[in-house]
Amino acid sequence: MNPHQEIEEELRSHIELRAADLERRGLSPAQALREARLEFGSLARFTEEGREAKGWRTRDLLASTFAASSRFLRRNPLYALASVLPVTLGIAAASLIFSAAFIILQRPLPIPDAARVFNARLIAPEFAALHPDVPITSAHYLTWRTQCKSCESIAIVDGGVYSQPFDPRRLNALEVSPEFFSILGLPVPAGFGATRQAVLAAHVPPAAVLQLDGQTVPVAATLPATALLPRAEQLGEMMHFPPQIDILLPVQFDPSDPGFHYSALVKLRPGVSVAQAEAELTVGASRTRLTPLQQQLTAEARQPLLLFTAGAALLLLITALNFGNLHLTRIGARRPDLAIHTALGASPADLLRHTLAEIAALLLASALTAGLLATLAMRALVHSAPAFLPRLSELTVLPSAWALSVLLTGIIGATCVAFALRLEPRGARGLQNALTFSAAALTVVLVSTAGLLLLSYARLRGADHGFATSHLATFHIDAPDPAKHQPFLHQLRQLPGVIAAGSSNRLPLQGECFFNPIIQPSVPTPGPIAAWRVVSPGYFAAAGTPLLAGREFTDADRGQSLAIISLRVAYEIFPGQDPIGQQIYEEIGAEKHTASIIGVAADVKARHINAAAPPIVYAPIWQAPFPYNYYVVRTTGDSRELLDSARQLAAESGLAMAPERVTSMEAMVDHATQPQRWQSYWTAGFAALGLLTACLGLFGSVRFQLSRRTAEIALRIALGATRRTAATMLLGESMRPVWFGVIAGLAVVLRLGQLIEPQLYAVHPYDPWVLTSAAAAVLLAALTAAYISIRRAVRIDPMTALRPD
Amino acid sequence: MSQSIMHGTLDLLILKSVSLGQQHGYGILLRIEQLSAGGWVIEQGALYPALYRLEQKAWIKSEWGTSENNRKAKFYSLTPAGKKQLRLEAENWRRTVELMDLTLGTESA
Repeated sequence: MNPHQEIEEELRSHIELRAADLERRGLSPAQALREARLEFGSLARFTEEGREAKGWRTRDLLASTFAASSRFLRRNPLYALASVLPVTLGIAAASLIFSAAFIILQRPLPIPDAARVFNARLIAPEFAALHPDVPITSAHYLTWRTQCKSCESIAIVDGGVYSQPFDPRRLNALEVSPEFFSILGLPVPAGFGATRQAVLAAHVPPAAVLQLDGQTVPVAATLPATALLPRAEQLGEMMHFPPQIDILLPVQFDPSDPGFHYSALVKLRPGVSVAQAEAELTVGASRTRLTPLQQQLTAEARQPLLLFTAGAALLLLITALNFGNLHLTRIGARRPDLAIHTALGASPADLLRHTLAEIAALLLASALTAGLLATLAMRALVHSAPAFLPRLSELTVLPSAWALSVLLTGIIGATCVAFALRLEPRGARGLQNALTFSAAALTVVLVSTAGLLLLSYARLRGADHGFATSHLATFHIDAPDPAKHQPFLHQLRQLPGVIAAGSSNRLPLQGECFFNPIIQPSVPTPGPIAAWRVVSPGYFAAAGTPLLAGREFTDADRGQSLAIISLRVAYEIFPGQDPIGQQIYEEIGAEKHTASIIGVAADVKARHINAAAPPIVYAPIWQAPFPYNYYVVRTTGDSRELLDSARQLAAESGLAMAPERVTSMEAMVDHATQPQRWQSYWTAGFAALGLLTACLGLFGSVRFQLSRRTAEIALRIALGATRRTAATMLLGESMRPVWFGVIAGLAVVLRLGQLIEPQLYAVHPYDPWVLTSAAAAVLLAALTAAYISIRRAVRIDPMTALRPD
Repeated sequence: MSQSIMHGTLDLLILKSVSLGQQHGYGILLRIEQLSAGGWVIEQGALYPALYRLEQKAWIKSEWGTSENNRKAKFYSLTPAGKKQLRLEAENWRRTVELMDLTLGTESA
């Protein structure tokens, strides 16, 4: 017997006992029973109070509410979908994004004393025009080791690529000093640095020795899978080691090398100030800047993550408001029902509790589903491994982020309901309008942000970066003998489907490796710093970089001292003059010599796709022959197919072709624009969900408000209003909060526009076209939602609607 | 003269009534009426929430049984904790009455 039945039974037994007594006093059985019931009082009330006294009420209530809710939702699948689906997606998105942002940006790095570990870079005056900061030189490292009292340890990091015999795969090495291990909390292999030995990354098959470039290197250890290995671009500009690290090797350190090669990790002693350490680390003209390693590694991810967080928070708010709004509708629809309950003795507190329990039940179902969804999405995110997001192995959905999202939704939903129960219908309508207004405003903010980012991404992809992207295969060739590159290039051009081919020591977007000031023999003071590249004949034609004046290097020029400058160099060095035929000093590879300028090439994005192109000077390949070169091949057909024949050709020529290093210009641009792509697509996804949710909410509330005005609408139509005029009037009323919401949303966008400005490429944050389209999209969607509701409402037959029940 | 029940006193009355022997709800009411010579008027239904409250506090316990005229009914009896509580509350009540007498007596004098 359940508690409820037990109470009923006991009360019934009481009434029977009393009736039996009354019968004995001479009343008829029927009279006795009626008298006994009257004396007893309200059976319903005492049953209820009895249950409350027994303490079963909450559990009972939850169970019965849950049953009632699920029954209601089964009968109203549309309502269920409108109420549960958006809130589920809102919570899932918020849990996912809040977790990722918190773990990546806020949680200390999984290394000992993470707060004391910094990345050291130089602010060198000679590079200031091109790079805000640069890596350090051997001299810096040597001086720092003796001079820095505040430093507990200093590690230097470089990169290298090694080939193995009988294995086409080359090994990407991180070349480190022994302190690297202790700073990152990894076990230090005994004798590492003193002897040349390798440490394998977790994904490399175990081996006792490696053959690296013909040298036998013993394997000392294998790293744990969780080891934090920074990628090159995460350690700052001008670091060029490959993205995936296979092995760690002792750094081969040349004290006399003046090059800015090394990334430096510095661990400070406890209690030392950063300023003091920076002062101790500053040597000569270049100042040293210490950036917390955490901040350095996550720099690239910060803006996109903050943007995602804002988008997810907006979406969560919109779905939570929608959740509250639909509950208002639901309470409104149940008002007659609630009135009966009140008449039967339920207190307002009971009703509030009942409705809140219903919200809790719905929210619980949504929250659990959302948790599951977020976990799956997080797995997908980690699996897709976007390069701009660091610390992927640490990512998981945080229960606190999930709970926060659920709590926020619950509070908004519960607040709406608590208000609604106290309000008269007119007040409830006001509240509903306020919710519609807020949802419209938030949606406009979200949709215009998405619009700005999408337009920015489209412009970034469509912009002229100084090189072509389609039908361009790229690959990397390492030749022990630099002289082998020339015959290889000639053979490459003979391959079927090849239109043009050329090589360079760096491709666009790969950054620079040589910097030198531009010096003219006729001018005593050195000109601005330029990036120097070495290219083969035919490179410009293959890469699709137009020559704006003059011509490019040809095989006939071989041996001559020539240069090609970028447009920016022409403007800066030779304003108002013809640069063709001018002389500059060239100091790359060979001895310093004078070179004649034979061409001006279009500016090329050398490093960041969304930054201005730097000044570049191109030297011909014969002046600085490198063992390695990147090849660019323009093809008639699929550029991927060419890679196979090129690989075969390289093997026949005894050259090593690095697989998967870069495959096409398109892939390089894809990689370079990944943060922007993710930013715009994710925000657009949030915006679409937000828009849909807001429309569902509007649809629901308009429909409910109209259902309460059936008689009024019927009367208007009966008195001669056409359905069209009735619909127009109702549409105008329903859309009023949306109009105001859209205006408020636009005001917010105009107020906060500068926040998003750094994320935009060639788009103004107040782009009138985007803002107008966003506002129009929200209005149009709202209009459609309201119209569908209204069309149903005005289709009534006034005679049926007005007939008394 | 009849007296409607004061808030909080019903619990004491129930404990007293149950202390005289196992009884069902209706019987408890009858006994209270007898003890007070019909002085208390208790809304019958209100007895049950009070009974459940006392049971929750483990001062009384209940079991289903049959009444004298063969009807199924739930019978309540006092637990040891209930006995203690009855003594305590009765003592409290006496002191309250004494103090009220004293206070009211002084005022009227």
